[in-house]
Amino acid sequence: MKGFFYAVEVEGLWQARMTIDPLVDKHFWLEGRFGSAGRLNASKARMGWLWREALPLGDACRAVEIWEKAGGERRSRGSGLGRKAVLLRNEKREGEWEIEREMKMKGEREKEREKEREVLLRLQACVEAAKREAAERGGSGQREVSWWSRWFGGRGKVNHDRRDVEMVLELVERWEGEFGGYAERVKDGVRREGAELAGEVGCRRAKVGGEHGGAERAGAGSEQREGGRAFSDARLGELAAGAKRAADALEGRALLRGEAHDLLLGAGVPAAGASWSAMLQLAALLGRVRLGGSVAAYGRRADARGRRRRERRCLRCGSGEALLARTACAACGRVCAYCTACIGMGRSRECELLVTGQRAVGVGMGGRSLAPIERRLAAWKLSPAQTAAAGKALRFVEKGLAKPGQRLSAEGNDVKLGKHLSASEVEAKPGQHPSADGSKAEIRNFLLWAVTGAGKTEMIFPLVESVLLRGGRALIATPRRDVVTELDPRIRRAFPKAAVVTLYGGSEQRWENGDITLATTHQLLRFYQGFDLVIVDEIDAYPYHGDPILHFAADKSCAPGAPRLLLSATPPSELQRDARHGRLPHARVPVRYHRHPLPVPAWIQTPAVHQMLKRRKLPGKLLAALRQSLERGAQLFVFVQRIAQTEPMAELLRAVLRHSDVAATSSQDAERSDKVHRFRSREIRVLVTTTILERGVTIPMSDVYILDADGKLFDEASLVQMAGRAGRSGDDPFGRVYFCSRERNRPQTAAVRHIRTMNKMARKQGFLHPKGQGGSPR
Amino acid sequence: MSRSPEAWLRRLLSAFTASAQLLAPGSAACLLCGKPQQSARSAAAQNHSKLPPQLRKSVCGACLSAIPWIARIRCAKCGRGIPCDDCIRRPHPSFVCNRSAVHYNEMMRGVLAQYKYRGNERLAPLLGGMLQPVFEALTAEISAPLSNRPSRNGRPNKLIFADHWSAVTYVPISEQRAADRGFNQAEQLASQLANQYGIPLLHLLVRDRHTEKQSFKTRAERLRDTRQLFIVNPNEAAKLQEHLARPPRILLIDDIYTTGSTAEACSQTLLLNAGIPIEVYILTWARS
Repeated sequence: MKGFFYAVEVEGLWQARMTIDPLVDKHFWLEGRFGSAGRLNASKARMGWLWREALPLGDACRAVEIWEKAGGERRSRGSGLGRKAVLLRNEKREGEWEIEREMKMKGEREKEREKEREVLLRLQACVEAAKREAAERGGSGQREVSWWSRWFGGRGKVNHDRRDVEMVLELVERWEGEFGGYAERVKDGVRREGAELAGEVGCRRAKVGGEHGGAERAGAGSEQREGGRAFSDARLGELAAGAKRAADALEGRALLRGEAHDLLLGAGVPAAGASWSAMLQLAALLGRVRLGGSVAAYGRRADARGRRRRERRCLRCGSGEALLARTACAACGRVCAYCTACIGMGRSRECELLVTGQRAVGVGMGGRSLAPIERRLAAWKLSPAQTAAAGKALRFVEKGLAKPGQRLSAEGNDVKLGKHLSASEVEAKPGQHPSADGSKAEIRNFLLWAVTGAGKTEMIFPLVESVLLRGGRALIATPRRDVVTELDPRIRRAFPKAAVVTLYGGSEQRWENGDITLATTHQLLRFYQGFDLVIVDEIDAYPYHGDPILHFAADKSCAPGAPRLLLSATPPSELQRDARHGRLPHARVPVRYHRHPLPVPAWIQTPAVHQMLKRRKLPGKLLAALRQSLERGAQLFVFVQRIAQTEPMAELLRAVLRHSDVAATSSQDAERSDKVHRFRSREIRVLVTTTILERGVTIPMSDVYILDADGKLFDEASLVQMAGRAGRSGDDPFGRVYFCSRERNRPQTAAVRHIRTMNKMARKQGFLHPKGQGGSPR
Repeated sequence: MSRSPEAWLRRLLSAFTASAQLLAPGSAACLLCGKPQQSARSAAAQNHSKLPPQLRKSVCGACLSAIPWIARIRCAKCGRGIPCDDCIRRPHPSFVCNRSAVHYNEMMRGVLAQYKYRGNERLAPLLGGMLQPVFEALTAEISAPLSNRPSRNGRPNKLIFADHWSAVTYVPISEQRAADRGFNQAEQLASQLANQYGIPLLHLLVRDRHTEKQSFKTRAERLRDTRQLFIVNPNEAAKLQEHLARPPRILLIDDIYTTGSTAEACSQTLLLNAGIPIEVYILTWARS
């Protein structure tokens, strides 16, 4: 996709911008009135210059950045304090002073011209620099941008060659005065120079027409539209209304062009007569959405020879250069980079528009005072251990609310200014927190470390309620789709009045907004600072654990300063360490909701599974245990390492147990959910499976057999999780767990120690039922 | 066959590329199933030694075995692996024949969707590689009467392939589609083949209009429109005139051959507008 680059002078300041629909910008800056919506810009622009040629989107955005950065370079000689916009202003003033000193000698008209020329040349310099960077990117390292010194090298004696300026005049379009009066002014000869030049260019263009292809054609197209499209008041009102609705629908989202289109269609936003991009562009001018390339520059890194090179990254998933691929792109007409890491969610590339909906206000106290925490907790009827942990988490969530105005002011500024924050500013810089923006608000993490079957879902209800009461949005994310679909009815039951949106690949609610969003972690790629409370369940589960893309997504979905809860029965060791050392606020729930201890795994020495399969025989001890489990009426989970072993093992069990209700399932099984369902309804008694069912499945009366427990794929966390499938219901709290292996290795002993520690802690804290009343097994 | 210095240079170049390939790191994951492949090079690669190396390197053994190659051609016209009535009903007089690399089954549908619609352009070399065996077979087929005498070392020489073709071209896509998708899959496949065998790639055809509003038209209009869907790029077509020997033989590449109507429309446009008599052959990646 292509974009346009322009600069406008507002209140004596020149600012540069990128647009996908220049006509909207022109109207916005020169006229500002949008029919019934009234006046939308704070102050009109005196004039502006539009670079006629449609640039590849990435180049147009980059040109804006270069313009702003050049301001920054000059600024550094000045005060060097305060916010960027203010500084830009200071610096400009300073620059103007110097030029003005020169101008005193010249006539008034000369002065004006000189200033215009400076802007024009600067405009051109930015475009050239952006193009050059794009061209040089694939090749060897590049020099530090030297265009500045080249164009404005002798500061103070800016010696613009008249010919240069004329050349630039051919490439730009002048915006001035009342919108609509523009054409007449040209005819009147007020801009005699420009008009003549435009004519010349027209002729020349006709001559070279064939050679220049796309760019010229795009330029001509925009001219035609200038002539043809006049805004009626009704149309303008429609456009403004559409832009507002689009901005509302896009709040907190980060979507590719096609996705944004789908969302707006889904939200019933009318396509404002013709132009959907006009609506988006107006929303962008109002500061409600941010438009830019989906893959963009974010920083510099020195290469092997010490030259600094610009690095690109996918702004949607955070992947760096290593995961970008470059191909010739017909959409923007140059070689452009796309992200291979998140391609499964639609292709993010340099010239692909990323629409980021800004959320103007964070959630404060919502003007209401909430009931005391204890009273609210009591309504959820949690067990003592759950109440203690949920209370701690709730206090954490509501901690920052004493000064609700703080965050709003920090964020509100940029929104009001409608300033285009460059991607590199807002998105992560290397080594910095990805979602940190100007206000540098960190995500506040809280670890809820609760044993399997502790009732984590019930514990998050009060937290979600707290956010909803304050009018915020809550997100519950988990890596596994199975878990999402299982959570869905429970959440809807707990919050019957709230709008719940469930998102996963192929979900029907894909483009809906709700109070509570339930999503797989992959779906978080499509959000940007959208939630006031983020809860990530099963943080140690595949694919979230160890996937930087999903971590990036989970980070950027948090509103700045919003609390994030990490839930796990087996947190990754680095989080455990942080928690132990007091670096990470946390609550531990060492006991299940039914207040019985966790079943401690017993060990049976057995040969490896492949040997059992080969000999078609199970060791006597294992067979006896299996028979006993079946006799006591339990459901049997049998875990094996490999998908290929599931079916043969099921067959073997069917034969040796003389029992027909044995089934096998794995991630490759299309009927998985059906089989789990039949297992739950006791149609299947024995289910042979892999780690795919290690979490998120609750079967009331079940025993667990982990074969090849010394295998490479079973680490401490997954052993604890699998063991956690047993004894989850209050009716049968003492399910049996067996580790079957040739030897006891480290993960097995660690898992047993983990379970025992939790039980000990529970007993110490008095969460278990007293001994005489069934507090311990058998 | 005499060896021109140019041929030697080309050989040298390919030898260099081949040896540079040795230094390239082996890809970690299979491009089709995404699983890491360690053993692929040892065991599975042996069974598929006839396939182009880039294919063997980037795809694991299991996926390689699952590719539904069209091994036996039952319809000499459209290159189908099963007997086909279509070609009797609609003779498609404008092109000589079509050959396709694979049957369009579920797996291939997935691969093409990944590449074409998801935009995973890393698959382009893979698909291009898959065209090579069928391209070589097609060339052997048409050159059979000519090359009865064995080449010097008894094996078909790579350079022979280029001798049989005047140009490679491809089915164009509309500008709007190009802007949406970012690339033309047929063009990518064609340019790869052209590079691999040293055949000139010509951008002979241009898609004139975007065909979306077909539903508003009458049948007659539609038929006429399909015919006029493509136009010939005169600058490129002029280059064909240089090939004075024989009627120039043109290979038209597309990703998929379904009914043959696209191939027919393109060939017809070429025949009518090339200015000289030509022969058009179709090479597609999949035959549905």
